[in-house]
Amino acid sequence: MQRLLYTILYVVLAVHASAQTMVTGRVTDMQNKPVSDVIVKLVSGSKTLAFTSSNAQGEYSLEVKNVPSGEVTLQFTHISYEKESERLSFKEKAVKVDMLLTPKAVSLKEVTVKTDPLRQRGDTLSHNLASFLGKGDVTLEDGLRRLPGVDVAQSGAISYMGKPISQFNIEGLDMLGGKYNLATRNIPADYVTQVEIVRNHHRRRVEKDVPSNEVSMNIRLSNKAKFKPFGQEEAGAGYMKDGNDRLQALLGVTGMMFTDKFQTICSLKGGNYKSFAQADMIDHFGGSDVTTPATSLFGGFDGGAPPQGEYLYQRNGMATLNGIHKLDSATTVKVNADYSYHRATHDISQSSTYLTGTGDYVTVNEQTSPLTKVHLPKLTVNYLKNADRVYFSETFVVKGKFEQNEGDVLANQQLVEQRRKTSSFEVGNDLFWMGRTEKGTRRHVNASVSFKRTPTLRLSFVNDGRGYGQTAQSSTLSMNVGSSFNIPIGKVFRLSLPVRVSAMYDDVETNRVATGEVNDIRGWSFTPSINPGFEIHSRNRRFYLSAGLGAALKGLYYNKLNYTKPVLNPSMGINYTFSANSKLQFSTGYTTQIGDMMTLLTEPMQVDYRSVRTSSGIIGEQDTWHTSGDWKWQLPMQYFTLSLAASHSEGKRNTLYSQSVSGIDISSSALQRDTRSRSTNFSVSSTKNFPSIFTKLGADASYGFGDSEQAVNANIIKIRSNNYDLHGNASVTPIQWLELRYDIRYGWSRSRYSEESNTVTSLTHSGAIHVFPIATLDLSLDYDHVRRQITTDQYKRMSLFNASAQYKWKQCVLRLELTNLLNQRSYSYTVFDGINTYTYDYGLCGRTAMIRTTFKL
Amino acid sequence: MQKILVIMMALALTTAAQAQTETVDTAQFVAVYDYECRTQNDEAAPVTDRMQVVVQVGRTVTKSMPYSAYPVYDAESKPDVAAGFQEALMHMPTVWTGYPEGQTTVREFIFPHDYEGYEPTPDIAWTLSEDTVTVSDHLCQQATATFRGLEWHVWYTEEIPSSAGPWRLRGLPGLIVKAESEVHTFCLAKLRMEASPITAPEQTPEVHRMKYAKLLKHKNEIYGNRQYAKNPMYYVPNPQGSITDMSVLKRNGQKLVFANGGHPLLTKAHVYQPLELK
Repeated sequence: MQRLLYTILYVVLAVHASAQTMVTGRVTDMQNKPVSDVIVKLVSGSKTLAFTSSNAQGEYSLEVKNVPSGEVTLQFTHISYEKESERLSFKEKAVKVDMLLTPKAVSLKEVTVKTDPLRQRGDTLSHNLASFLGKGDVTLEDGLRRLPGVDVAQSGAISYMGKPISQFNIEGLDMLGGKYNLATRNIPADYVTQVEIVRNHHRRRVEKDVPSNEVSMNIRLSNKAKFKPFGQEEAGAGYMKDGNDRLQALLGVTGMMFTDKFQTICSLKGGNYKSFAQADMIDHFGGSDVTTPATSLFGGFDGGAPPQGEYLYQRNGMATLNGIHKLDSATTVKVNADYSYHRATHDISQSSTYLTGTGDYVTVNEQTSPLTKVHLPKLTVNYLKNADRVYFSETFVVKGKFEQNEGDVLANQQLVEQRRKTSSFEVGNDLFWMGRTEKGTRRHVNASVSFKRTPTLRLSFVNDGRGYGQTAQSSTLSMNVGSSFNIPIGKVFRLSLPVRVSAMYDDVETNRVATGEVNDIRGWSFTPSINPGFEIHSRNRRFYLSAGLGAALKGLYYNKLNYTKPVLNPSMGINYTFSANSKLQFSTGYTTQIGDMMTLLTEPMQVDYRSVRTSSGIIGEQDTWHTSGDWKWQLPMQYFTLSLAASHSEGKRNTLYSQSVSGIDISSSALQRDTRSRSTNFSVSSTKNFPSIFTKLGADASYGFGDSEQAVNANIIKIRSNNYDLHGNASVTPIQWLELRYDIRYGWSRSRYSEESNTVTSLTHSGAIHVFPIATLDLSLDYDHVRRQITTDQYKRMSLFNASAQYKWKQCVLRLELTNLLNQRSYSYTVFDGINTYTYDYGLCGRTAMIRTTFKL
Repeated sequence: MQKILVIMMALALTTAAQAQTETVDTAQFVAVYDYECRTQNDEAAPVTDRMQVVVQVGRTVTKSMPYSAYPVYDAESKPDVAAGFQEALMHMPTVWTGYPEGQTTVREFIFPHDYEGYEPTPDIAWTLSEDTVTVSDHLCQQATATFRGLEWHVWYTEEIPSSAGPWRLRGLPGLIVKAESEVHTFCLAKLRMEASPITAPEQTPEVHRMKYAKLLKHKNEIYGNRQYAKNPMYYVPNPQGSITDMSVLKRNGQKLVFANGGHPLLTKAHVYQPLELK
């Protein structure tokens, strides 16, 4: 009986169990990535038996209580994927169905796609790039120049309302750091959909409630630039009428890929046409160079640069590999490996007039063609976690600089040979952690260490058959450790306590070969500092004040020197936000700079063939009080920006720069004497766009004045200077096939000392005319005209003309460039450096024709 | 003056977006619903309140918010001051479904504080019906469920294969086109293809975070009180002290008061009709 009951129970349970069937599985896309939120539905005829949706891992499970006898279908639907279905017959209690979905073009009823040129989301302005592009624009950089408030300098540096951007992101990832030219000059403008400008950018998300003045840019790519590699190939050949390198060539290939998780840009370029390859490697945030005490004591013989025109005969090449991988929504690993080579030479004649001790002037005329060869390898690896509660960054850098200089000079008709050779390297590691608790307390710890060394730096001179020289070496180990607490007290008040210790070990040796004068300095500089401060952030988040005490103990312990000095550098900053579009900032601070071991190099050092440098041995001390304020106002929807800024600095030093002139030999040193300097600056800038007629207007002006002191042959001279600068530009498209650009700048500066007064003015205008006979053909002519004062009533006028024709055909851009059409071969200008006068005459590169092509790959 | 206030209002409403917020997903489409609530005013006369709710539907996160909180302002659709005031009468929270993963996060402003509630995303036990009807040009099917004390009748369309819906209503094999309870109605007004970023709740230390059940209890206690319609500030112990700034706008003979960075301050309210009882 019992057995019978068990049997019945078993049968009932089995029947019940068979009626309950589980359907499980996983939904993936073509890349084998899980697809979440897929509606999985079991249908019998028109009846829905059960439904569910897939989770973040793409998994789903459906429990079917009453399995029908007929055929059932399992349907998979998702807004972005094609509908899929599978027929099921429930022979088993558990069924597993994995599904692969293919993407579809979405179409919804009542679809409205908005393409406003500009949108504002809080502090982010999104520009629809296509609405601003001109017909001849090829690269992203060309497009950026058209955006309201955006300025792109000749070097490629981007600024928004006068503020240089502090981060450049592609689809939210910062792959390139300061080398964003690689992106802006190689990504085609039509591959970019949106350019977003974040006006209160926060590098660290944990600090996002702290008001920020930083600006960042993020570009969004179109689908054709995502997920599959693309790139461009450039090739060109040309001829220069006069000059060193007559045959000109360039060749480059750049490959890129941007997916959700991984981005890369790799490029290989070389050529002798302008700075073709080197231009992509400019690091706008600095830090690519290696500067050691030895290399900064004995600089190269590069002879400066004229403000206008191509003057360098360059050969440059570069190779770069950059990649960033997103581990999760907040974590990335980034590797940047660069190598660049640069060889440059140019011609310059220089006339320098110095005031001597007797009140007379001495003039030195020199002619030189400095040649510089530089190799710059660099590797950076970075791990970054940037989440709401925690920020962690670990960066390792190794870089080198290998230089060779030749600077033979024809000085007052006499040939002098100058040579310089040096190599330096730097290895560094930087670690930064910041955490934030639920209550808003922030803590941070950072530690960085770097070692840089110049094993040998060698200068050699041959003058009138007499050889002499100078050698130097330096090693520097620097360490920085810091920590801080930032604790909220109530809703509006915060206390902060940053503590920092920086220590640096230097070993510097210089040897003046002919005379055997040797400097050998080694020792530590050690600075512990503590900056207790507070922040007030009003409840309505409009008013923000932060202040710190800035206490530090500066210690220099070199050879027999034991120097310790406590300093107090208080600072204060105030921000007031009137509205999302109007903001006032003010900051003031007192800083004390204490000289370094360089001032202990009291034995003479030969810096060039006629200059000897001797340091005073006095530890310099400079106290500066700096105050600045600015107001930024913009009406993004009216495409209008305006910023006003003012700053004032007062400085006091305990030493005074002194110059002694004897014959044509210049020696410089420092006198122990208190000296004061002051400077005040005002600036205003504004831009306005009229997108409907593709027009952008910009204007800015600045005015500054100040005074300072200098000593010449132990006489103290007070110098007063003032200057102003006016600048305006316009880019106008009056009719569809014509585009005009015009830029005018007028500068005026005056310096006065004793009874003397020197005034220099300069007026430059440049313009361009682009004509589009057909939409894909761009014929342009641009010119630069400059009128610069050389001496009191002597002006130098010069015009430079360039022309180009550009034809866009499918994936290819064909371009003919004619540079320096009038074949101008020299550019002169004068600089008054307080009491000295320098007149430069630069040789310019001759007329050049270059035909180049760019293929989108 | 009015212009200034409109700008101030826009500023206040964009404050959430002003502080940088993390983007957690990108919308695949945006649905705008008309929301209606049938209630009484402070003198017990029947009134129908109306507002719009914007739902950003992403791959993993769905965000539903009052129209004025959707941070896309262009020249044509600047937020209307009176609309913001109307929204304040209706207590519609911003809801993130699926953020964090498997959770639902709700943000409410109950004067003078911001509150955030969190809980695992609740499943709604829908009963599907085979009836079909055309609502707003979409072929819809009906489903019913009781969610936290309220019975809902909804119409969803399988033409749009997304399990999203307005406010916290979700979990059907198609987008919810219309949802009705005794006094509440949501109706799909507009669908836009818009890949806008879905931002996470702004992390400010001033927000009071708690389990959602606690927040709901607090909200229902405050708004559910009999005094509320006649004196919406009855529960604020020191109303003058809680107000950091205040501005008044006169519009069509009506006085609109904004306080603490542009939040509408009600002098009279309507009887609270909860969307969830417990």
